[in-house]
Amino acid sequence: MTVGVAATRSPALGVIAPFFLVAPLGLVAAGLLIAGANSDSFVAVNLPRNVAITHGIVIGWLTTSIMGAAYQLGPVVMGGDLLSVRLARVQLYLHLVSVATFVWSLWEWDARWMGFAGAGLYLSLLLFALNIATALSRGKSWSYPRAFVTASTCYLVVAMTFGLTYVGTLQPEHSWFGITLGRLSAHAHLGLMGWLALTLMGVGYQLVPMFNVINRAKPRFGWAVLAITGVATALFGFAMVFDPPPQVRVPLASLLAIGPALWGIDQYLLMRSRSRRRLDIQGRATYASLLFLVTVIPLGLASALGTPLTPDGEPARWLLAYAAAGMLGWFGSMLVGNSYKILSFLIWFHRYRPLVGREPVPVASEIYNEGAATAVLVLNAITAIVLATAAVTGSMDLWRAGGLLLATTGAAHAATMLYMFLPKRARRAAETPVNRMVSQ
Amino acid sequence: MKPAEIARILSRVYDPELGVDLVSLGLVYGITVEGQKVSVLMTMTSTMCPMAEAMLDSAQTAISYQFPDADIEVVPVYDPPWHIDMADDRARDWLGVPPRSVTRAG
Repeated sequence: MTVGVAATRSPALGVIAPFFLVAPLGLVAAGLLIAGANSDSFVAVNLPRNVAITHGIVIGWLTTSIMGAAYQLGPVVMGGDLLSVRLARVQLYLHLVSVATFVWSLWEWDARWMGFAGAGLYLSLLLFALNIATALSRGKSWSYPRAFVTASTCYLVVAMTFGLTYVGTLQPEHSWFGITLGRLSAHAHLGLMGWLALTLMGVGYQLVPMFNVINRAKPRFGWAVLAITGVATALFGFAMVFDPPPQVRVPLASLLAIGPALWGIDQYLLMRSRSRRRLDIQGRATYASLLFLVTVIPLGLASALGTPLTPDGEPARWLLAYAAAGMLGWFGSMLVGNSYKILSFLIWFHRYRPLVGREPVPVASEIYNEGAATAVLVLNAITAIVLATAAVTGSMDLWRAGGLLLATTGAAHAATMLYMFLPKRARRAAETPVNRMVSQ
Repeated sequence: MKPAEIARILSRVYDPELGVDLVSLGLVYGITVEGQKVSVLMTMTSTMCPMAEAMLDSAQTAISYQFPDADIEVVPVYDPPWHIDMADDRARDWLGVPPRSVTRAG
């Protein structure tokens, strides 16, 4: 029987690691923008500052990290070699410059620079999609991560195309169409559900059983989650373009919630049957993300209901709470947990593997600091709770405090990942194992 | 060169993810030594383990480092599939699983 994955196909550490290390800067930028927010932040989600914050988190932190993870997992567990490792390096530089400029131009609401940066961003994500699609096409069987990431990559391109047309229509000489809240929601959900949720859910089906040593229980709803979420996202995205009333929005939002709900049940049942009873960072992050998912669904439905629940003429409040719980809580927890595991594996594989058998080498859990990683996870969770609470209660002071927490989370996340690159001692392997016979 | 010596070498090779040695985890299904030929049957905790190739390589490297002239073969085996019951109490303790005696009594 063959081994189902091929770690030797993993691109070099120098290709993957920079994606993870620079991604938290998106959190720092978003946090500082929130900390400096004016008193009108809850009036509309499409205020320049709010749009800049959202893009700092989504394309700065989440997407940049996921691109790094995809370049690692694509060749190793989802398919085959990338189209080009050099293209991945070039894409990172293009992505960084584009994201930084785009977030700045959104904050300043400078349509001209939005156009330049948006085009760069579009090109960056197309190059990523091309590279990862090549790796996916080289797979031999349809595993959950391969199928989910294939669908999510398609949604990435669709969401980006929507976004690019919005940037285009904002140019004074164009003005093709108006960007309504419904159209903004279509773009956001194509990106958040189609790209991020599908990617993270699919990868979760692979990484949760792997890291938590789950080998008897199997997911029950994996393909249903993909099908329902895929179809629901398309329907929701299409319908929202026409700014439908709550009677249409709420059923569609309910349909959109079914896939993640089934995924949450799957993950919970898998975690309950794990052999690794002592939770590590990935296990804690999985539970944290599931807890946030429980809050994201009602917040999303409340947001879809809209006006009847709108408090004090500030319609953005439910949406911002929904965004904080979803992006930072549900997605962010998963990403924090997996980033320590993926990066520590890469460091072990490239730096310590050649030394195994010759001298004691550290194990993966000695490469990152479990306590510090857990602290970042907790900080991220507190930040999500503070920001969601601030939005629901309409407290600007709490909102700004949440911004400072978010910037701190980003800085701590980057620092703890940088720490992984310091040389480590092999504490576990230095223990004297019990001598034992192995019978044939 | 005896199977016990090979087992001792493999008990110094750690699953880098779980932080437990291969022998304690019960990943080594069998060791055969015939002259200079060493054959190790080894499994993984999961067929989709990303460390699989690295661990097979590591086992081979560790043995060859101690016995440079040996003809070593490390063969992945997935039947029977690994289960936590195959791990010894040391590994179970590290993973937070009650020791076998407690499990059986329960």
